[in-house]
Amino acid sequence: MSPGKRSLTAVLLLLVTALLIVYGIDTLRLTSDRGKKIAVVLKTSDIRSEYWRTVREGMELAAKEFDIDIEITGTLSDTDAEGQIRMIGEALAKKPAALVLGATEPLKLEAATRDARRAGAKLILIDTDVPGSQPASLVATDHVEAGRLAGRSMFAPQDKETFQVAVLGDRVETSAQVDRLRGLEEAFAETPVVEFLGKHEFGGQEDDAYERTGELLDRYPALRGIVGLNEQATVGAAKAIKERELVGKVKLVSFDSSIYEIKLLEEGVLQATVVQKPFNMGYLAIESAARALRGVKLDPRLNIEAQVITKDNLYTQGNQELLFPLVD
Amino acid sequence: MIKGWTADTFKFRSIQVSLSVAFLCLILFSILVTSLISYRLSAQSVERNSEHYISEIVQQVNLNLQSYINNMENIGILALTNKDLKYYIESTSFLLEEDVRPYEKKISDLFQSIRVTRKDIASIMVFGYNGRIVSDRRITSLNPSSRIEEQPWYRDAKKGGGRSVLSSPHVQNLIQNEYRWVVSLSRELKSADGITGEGIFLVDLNLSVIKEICSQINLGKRGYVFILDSEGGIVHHPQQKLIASNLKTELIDRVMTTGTGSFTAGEGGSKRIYTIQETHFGWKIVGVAYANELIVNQEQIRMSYLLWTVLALVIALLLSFYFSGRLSSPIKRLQLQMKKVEKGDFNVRTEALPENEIGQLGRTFNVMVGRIKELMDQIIQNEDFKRKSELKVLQSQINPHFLYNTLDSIIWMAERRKHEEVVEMTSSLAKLFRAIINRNDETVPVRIELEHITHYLSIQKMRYKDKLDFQIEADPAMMNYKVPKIILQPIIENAIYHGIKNKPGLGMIRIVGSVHEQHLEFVIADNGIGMEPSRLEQVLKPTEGPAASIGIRNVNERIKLFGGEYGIRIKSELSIGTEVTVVLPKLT
Repeated sequence: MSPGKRSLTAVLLLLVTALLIVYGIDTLRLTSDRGKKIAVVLKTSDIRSEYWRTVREGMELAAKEFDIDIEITGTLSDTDAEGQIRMIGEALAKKPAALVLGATEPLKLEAATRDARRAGAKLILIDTDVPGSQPASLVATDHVEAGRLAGRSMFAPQDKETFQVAVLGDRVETSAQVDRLRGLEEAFAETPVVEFLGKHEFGGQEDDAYERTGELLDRYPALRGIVGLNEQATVGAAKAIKERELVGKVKLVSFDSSIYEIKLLEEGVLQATVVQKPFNMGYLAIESAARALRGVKLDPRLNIEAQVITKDNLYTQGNQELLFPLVD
Repeated sequence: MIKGWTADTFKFRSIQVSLSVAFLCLILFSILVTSLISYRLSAQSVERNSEHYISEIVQQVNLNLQSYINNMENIGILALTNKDLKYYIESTSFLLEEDVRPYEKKISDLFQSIRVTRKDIASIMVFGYNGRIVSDRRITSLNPSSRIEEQPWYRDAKKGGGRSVLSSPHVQNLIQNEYRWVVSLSRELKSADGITGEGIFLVDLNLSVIKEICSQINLGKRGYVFILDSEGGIVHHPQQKLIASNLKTELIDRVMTTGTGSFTAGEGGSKRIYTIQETHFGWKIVGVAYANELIVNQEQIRMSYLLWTVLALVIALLLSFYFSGRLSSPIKRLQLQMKKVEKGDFNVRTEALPENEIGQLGRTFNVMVGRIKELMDQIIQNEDFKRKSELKVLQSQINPHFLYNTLDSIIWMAERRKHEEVVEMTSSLAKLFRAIINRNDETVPVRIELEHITHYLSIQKMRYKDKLDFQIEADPAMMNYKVPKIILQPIIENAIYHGIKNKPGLGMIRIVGSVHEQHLEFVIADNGIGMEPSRLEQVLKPTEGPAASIGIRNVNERIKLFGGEYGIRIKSELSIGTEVTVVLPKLT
């Protein structure tokens, strides 16, 4: 080979290599994010659950913004743990890069979350913690803080007279309810005016709550505050308060919002309700997953703040958004 | 190959490589510059096109919204001109309680028929200052908790004095158990005098209609449309909830200060183009598109530019090698021929030369080589001629001396009546001369040469009688090899005249011939007086030697013509003798 031919071959080889490298890098760069999918298994896919529909809406918006494929599934019933475990299995079979899970029954799902980690998917829990699951992050409302907010809305700084407050809750003790109760206790401990009577259980139905409230009002004449841990407790208590014409005299505070609770707020029976921000939860869950996929270390716990709604701020722009989600 | 590449690349030993590199640099530069410029130009034009596209889309949203708002206003005008409605809410009318109901039903029917045809309208209501309320429903059960007079649409309409007022989106809680997201268009109804207000007319437009219009817009994967009201409040934004909870910010202030037009914000991947369209009802429609998505095929454009550039470079490279090869090949040929000349081949001629400077160079080269060859030939001829003439001189040099002496001896012997000796000597002389004269060949077989010296020595021996004796030992195998003519005789002559003649007693000359692998060798040894080293040195020197050694020098030079390794070596010691070794080529 003459020197000319040799260097020609060398240059050609070099060019071809350069071309291949450029092409390879380009293809890799273009496809690097494409293959990443996030599987989402919600607590329920029931369209009547406004809360989970809003979570879903937040997720879809985030997916669009971060340009990620997400596949959202969920059982029809929010207590179908077996169904959810099966769905997690199906989702993991598609090799997602991350799994976002809103657990139905935390205690039954530990094994399923272990499967997710073993499949190499980053695990993000939303709404509910699963004990022993060691997720990359838990995106949930801080229920202790929500409880504190609810407790503080029970009294005003200028209150002088001591009064009694009771909490009304059913027998099912979800972690959210335990946390809320703890927050309430902490808030009441901050002030000398509240004499906390503790949690009082009722049967679970609206009528049970109504009867229990009546009993409490009879037993504690100084009872000036009731906290309903769920909708049934609140609506039942409100009925009792209205019937005894104690509106304005006995304060009622609740968690979450239904159309009945909004009406009670408008009527002035309900002083305040502490609501969650499911849209933010959904959005931040997907954002966290996207960040985890990029290799960012996540906070093990991402708190979604709660919002206190009263009659006065019911129709502000932001709160309207929270209370009346516009879902298509 | 790699070694060659790394070591020699930047030295450019070959003219072809230098030319190629020069071409390549030139081409590389021009291709890169043109590609860069055209890429930028096309990217710009794509960007301009997309800006145009966004503004058209935003315009389309505007038109759609416009038609909804116009419809609402038209309904307002319809209500305004309805006589029944006027009478129904007029403070001055004297309607009896039992007459109110039919009026209410007539108006309600009208509203209902409008609402039924329009899915976008949530409700149509009129609130008379006289306390009468009529809606598109038969039975209107108002929400007792809603404070109508405090609601923005009511207050604004009252303040507006007959103009239509468009509210921000809000949840309408007028009707019991109904909480709907709407946009309200309200206006105050005037009495016949056109000054006194009689009531408020309200049309609610489902917000979902606006959301639907906006969500149908496709501005790339991440692009979106949002709408602001005249105060900068958000009418619609896909990320409304995030903005409300401060997770996201939108450039509302910047949009509010910019009229119809566009601006860009953000850097790199989040570079966005905001296109703003002001509407006549006070809202601003803003289209936001991500620059890197708008130029949808930006990546493709870049990729194809890259590929074409590389392809062009490859072609350019090949062409540059081809052309530089064509330019440099005559030079290479010339160089090759020159190398041959360098090695001594003067018969080369370059041919097929181009009609340019290199061709001229080649032709000059040809002329030069031709001239050199001519000169060389001339020199060889001259040398040959010189050698031949020297040989003749040598031959003619022996003749007179030797002949005179020999003839003198013959005379002397004849006087003494030594017939036999006379005969012998004369016959030897005759044979000797025949050997010299014989043929014109420059080389003779060793046998002839040996005969020649035998005759010569016989004559000399007869002349010097007891003073000289000789001995010849030659390998029979060498007899047929050829040697230059008259090689040994001048050496023997020297040995006799300068060695033995001046020595008292018997002088002995021994001649030994042997065949070696590469050469023939003759050793001529005498026991004469020998030479001093200083004299010995001068014997073989071409110019300054004593006249007596002309013969030896001539012999040496003639042998050297066959090659440097051949020639004469002389060893001599004073009063012991001289030994001359002649190394000759093996000629056949």
